[in-house]
Amino acid sequence: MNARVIASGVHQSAIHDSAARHVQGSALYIDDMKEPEGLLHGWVILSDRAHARILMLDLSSVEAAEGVVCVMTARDIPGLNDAGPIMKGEVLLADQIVEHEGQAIAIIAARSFAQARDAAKLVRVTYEDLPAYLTIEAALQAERFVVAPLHMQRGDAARAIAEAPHCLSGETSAGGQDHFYLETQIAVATPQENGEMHIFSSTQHPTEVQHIAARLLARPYAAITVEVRRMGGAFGGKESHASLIAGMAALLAARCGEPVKLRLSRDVDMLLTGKRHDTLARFSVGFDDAGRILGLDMMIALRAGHVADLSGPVLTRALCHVDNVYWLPNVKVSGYACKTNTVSNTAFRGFGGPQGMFAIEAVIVRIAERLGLSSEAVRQINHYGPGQDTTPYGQSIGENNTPRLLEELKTAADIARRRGEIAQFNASHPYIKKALVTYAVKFGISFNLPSLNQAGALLHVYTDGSVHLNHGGTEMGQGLYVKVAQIVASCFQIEREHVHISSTRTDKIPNTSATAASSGSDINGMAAKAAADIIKSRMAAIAAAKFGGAADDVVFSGGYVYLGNRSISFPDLAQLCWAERVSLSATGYYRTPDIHFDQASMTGSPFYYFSYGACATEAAIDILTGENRILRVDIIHDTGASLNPAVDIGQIEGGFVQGQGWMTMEELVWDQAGRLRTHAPSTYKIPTSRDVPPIFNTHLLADAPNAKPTIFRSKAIGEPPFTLAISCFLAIQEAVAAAAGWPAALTLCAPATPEAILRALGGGKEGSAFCEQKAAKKLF
Amino acid sequence: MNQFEYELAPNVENAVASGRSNGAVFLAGGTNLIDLMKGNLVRPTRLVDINRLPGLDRIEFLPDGGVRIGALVRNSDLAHDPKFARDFPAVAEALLSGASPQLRNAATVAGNVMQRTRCPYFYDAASACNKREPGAGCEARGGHSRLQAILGWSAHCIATHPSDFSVPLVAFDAVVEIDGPQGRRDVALEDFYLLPGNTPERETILAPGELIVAIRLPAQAALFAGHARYLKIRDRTSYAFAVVSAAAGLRIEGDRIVEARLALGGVALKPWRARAAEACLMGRRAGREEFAEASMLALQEARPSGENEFKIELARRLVVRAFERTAIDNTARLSPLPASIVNLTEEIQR
Repeated sequence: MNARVIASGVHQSAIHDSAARHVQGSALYIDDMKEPEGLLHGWVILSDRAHARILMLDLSSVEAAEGVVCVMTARDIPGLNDAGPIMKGEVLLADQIVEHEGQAIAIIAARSFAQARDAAKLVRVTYEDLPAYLTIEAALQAERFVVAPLHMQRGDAARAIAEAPHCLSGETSAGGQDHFYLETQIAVATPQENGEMHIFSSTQHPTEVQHIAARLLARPYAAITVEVRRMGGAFGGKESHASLIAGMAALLAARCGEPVKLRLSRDVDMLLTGKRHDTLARFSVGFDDAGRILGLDMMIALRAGHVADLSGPVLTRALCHVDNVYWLPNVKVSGYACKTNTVSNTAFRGFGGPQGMFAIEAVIVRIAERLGLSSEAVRQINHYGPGQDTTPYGQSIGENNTPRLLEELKTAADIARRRGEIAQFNASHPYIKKALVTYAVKFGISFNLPSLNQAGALLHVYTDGSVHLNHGGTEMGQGLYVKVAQIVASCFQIEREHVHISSTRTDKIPNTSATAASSGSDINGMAAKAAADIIKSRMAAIAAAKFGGAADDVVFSGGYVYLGNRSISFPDLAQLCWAERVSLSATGYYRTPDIHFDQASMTGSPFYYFSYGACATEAAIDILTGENRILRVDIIHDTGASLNPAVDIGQIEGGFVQGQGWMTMEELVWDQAGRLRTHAPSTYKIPTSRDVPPIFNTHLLADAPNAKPTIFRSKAIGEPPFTLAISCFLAIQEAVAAAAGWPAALTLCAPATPEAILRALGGGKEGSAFCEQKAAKKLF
Repeated sequence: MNQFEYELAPNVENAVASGRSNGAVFLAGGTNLIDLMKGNLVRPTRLVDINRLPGLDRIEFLPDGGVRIGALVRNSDLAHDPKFARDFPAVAEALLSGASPQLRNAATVAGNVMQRTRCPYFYDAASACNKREPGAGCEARGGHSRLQAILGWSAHCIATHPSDFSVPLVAFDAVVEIDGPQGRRDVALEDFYLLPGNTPERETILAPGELIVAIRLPAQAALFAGHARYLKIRDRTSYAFAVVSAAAGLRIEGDRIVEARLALGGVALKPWRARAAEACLMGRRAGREEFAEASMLALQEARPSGENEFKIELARRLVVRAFERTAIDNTARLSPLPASIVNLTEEIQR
């Protein structure tokens, strides 16, 4: 038998399937597609009040404007005015009451984009303002929540704190974050015959777009087909909120009987769609002389915005990540999703996990400050270890890669030598202070809700040996399509150029989950493998019959199919299967095994496994201007047996820099009337290429196949590396401490913008004492 | 975008004649104008394309040591001209600290000087703005004001001028050469810009049809070549407008300053020349105390236009830093991150 194996299967650094086309401009995004004849352009009329009753909505001038074909309000929706992904009653178009600035109150279709946009300005609305709750604090006080508060508990936290040698209380906060995908939200809806509708939607969740469009149009799901070839970034922002845009386009298209494109401008995108939840955390912690946490009582409050959307699951994941890599023997965590009159916040890479992980670090540094220990020592002593390896929700952490990652990082990042250099530098430089922190993360992989962990795939083998691949996962630039193609290539043992990737469509794979929770390649890859295995077994039977042997002995390798010393090429066998009247098409299905979670008690094993990572991050601050730079980052990340090391390294670097933006510069500002003042890149700063750490070393943890039988023993990569960037905040905070002492540094909140750093250097406007006093009022 | 006529001007005379008509604007690099037109924030009825005007794309080093920069010289070409960067390092540094390489390749020097403010309320068609619509009001007041003015603002407008390039130009007495229906005239760049007062819609002294044909730096400016810097504080490492910036120049003889120059950016609707600060340094030592005194004078008239009081102290610190750097630096070389404060390579070398 020939031992040749293919060169373009799994574990290879394959280039992104569209990389060349991205560069050439020939990778088509929805707005690049040739416009059908008669295409109308949609636009949205937004509320300019945070909370008000609409007394009068006069659209007559809008309707009369040049080029306008139709204007629709809540009243004109044929089905239910409901775009809620989980909860009912989350209206698409405001009806009588507006609950945030930027909420859609009417939609327009016009002959041109400019006509639609200009006509929108002619609306006349009379409002009666209602009391607006804009902040987490205001909502907490009024006990306004979008879902019932969640409580997770193990042991007796109150007692452990009371009996501990030391205790303290504290508070921290982190801001929100706009997704800032390069391609703003867009959909093109085209009416078909018999009341059916085809929708191109830039969405991570075609099935949900299908369901919500059907609900709005009062049509069965089967009448709606949603298709997406690729998105220009999504990051969670196109998980539930893509349905708003696609739903509006579908309504307008159905009403006008013409195709309608709705593409949001950056400003409208930022006003109308949700962001990462900003967070407020308060805690009391009891600990011993060495800094070991004995009891922790924590409250985490998220700003949910005007409706629930995905805030419940986001909050669940936040609570499930408070532990990060730390053993918390007695712990109580309460979570509040605060209802505010701001845009409904939504999924964003990490999905609450980063917020929970950020909160525990505030506990760590306060313990270190109180005991006069290094924060590193306190982190170290609290790490999970043998016998102390169960999460607060009762799941065993399984293989624990943290010690190995941190050990390898010591050498890779040359930590001991650099710490000495930094101490020397800080002693001599008058106004630049540096700091180096090491930081480890653990991230749970799977949707928290077990039922979402399923996927489907569809494979056709044609008689020339080429393969058509389709699955329920969506491509948002992350490289999912190429990874699944590698998987199929490996299964059939044919080079990847023979595997043809096709757009995700609800009429090919039904009832899918969102491409989210880092699960894309895990579940869709498995589904594709399942489909390939079905077809392979049929082909093997034909080969066995031809060569006279057992199907079990048939081997697929290097483009050929072998039995003993006989072989046939893959295309020839495909042709033979056809001649023998054997189906070469199959669907594959996968459900993640061994996961369960009880939402009421907040216990279970919701995650199939954990992903680990560690980094050493060096930051510098200028104590006179507040400017900061991330100078060097060394990462070692656990990707199991990586499906595609190049794509994974790209995800790690991109995720880290996005997290760096969240922690250091991206700041959403609402004014006192609840109007978002940062809805364009002029006022909202994301990192640029020059903010990427000048020294940025990324390694994948070697020889660490997933202990769980995941697809080719790989691990998920989408979200975990984002959380490593919390280290940027921690390093800046240590640099502030180096300049002004820990009490000042503890007043620093995220994002650590230059102004926030200057404020902290000055001891904070409010001061840490004030924070603790506020915390004492508590909502535990 | 509105309908407009487009005209390619063959020479300055034709350009000036066409530029006089109502609603006409000149198009050079287009990096700012086209954005504004796309946003429907300006609605010219005629674009007079001046990109082909002969002779305006040259850098001429004058016999007396000054330089005459043609209006159409691209930002990158000027910044990377070896002689220009050597003689006028702070100007080159300012140019390279602005925008991105692609924009600098397209943008012209005259267009840079003519940039409109980046006030987010000016850019947001839904907000009231006296610049766009005189008398409409100024929503920036009481709004998100961290990037707004602390000097020379009025009740009608608190915007700032975004150009980095103009800041050292004002510090070093650049002159704008203007051609127009009434013939040629030279105007000091400092006087070229108008403060908002009651008429924020009027931003420069240019009359209809008047066209910048060149920008001159006098020979005197090159005397600062050994001690000149532009420093810029911004929200991220690159591709951001200044929160505050400073162009500083010193002429030092022995241990005494014989002449000082200082202009601030990001603080007013024009680059802010700080003459009192310059004067106080004459004949003094180049030391921190002296610079601190100069910084107080430079900002003595400053007052917040909103929640931006921090910019006053920040600008003072920047002035001290800029002079300190200027005193010790020979900027014949440009740092990899021009105008950056936290430039660790530079810091570690200190």
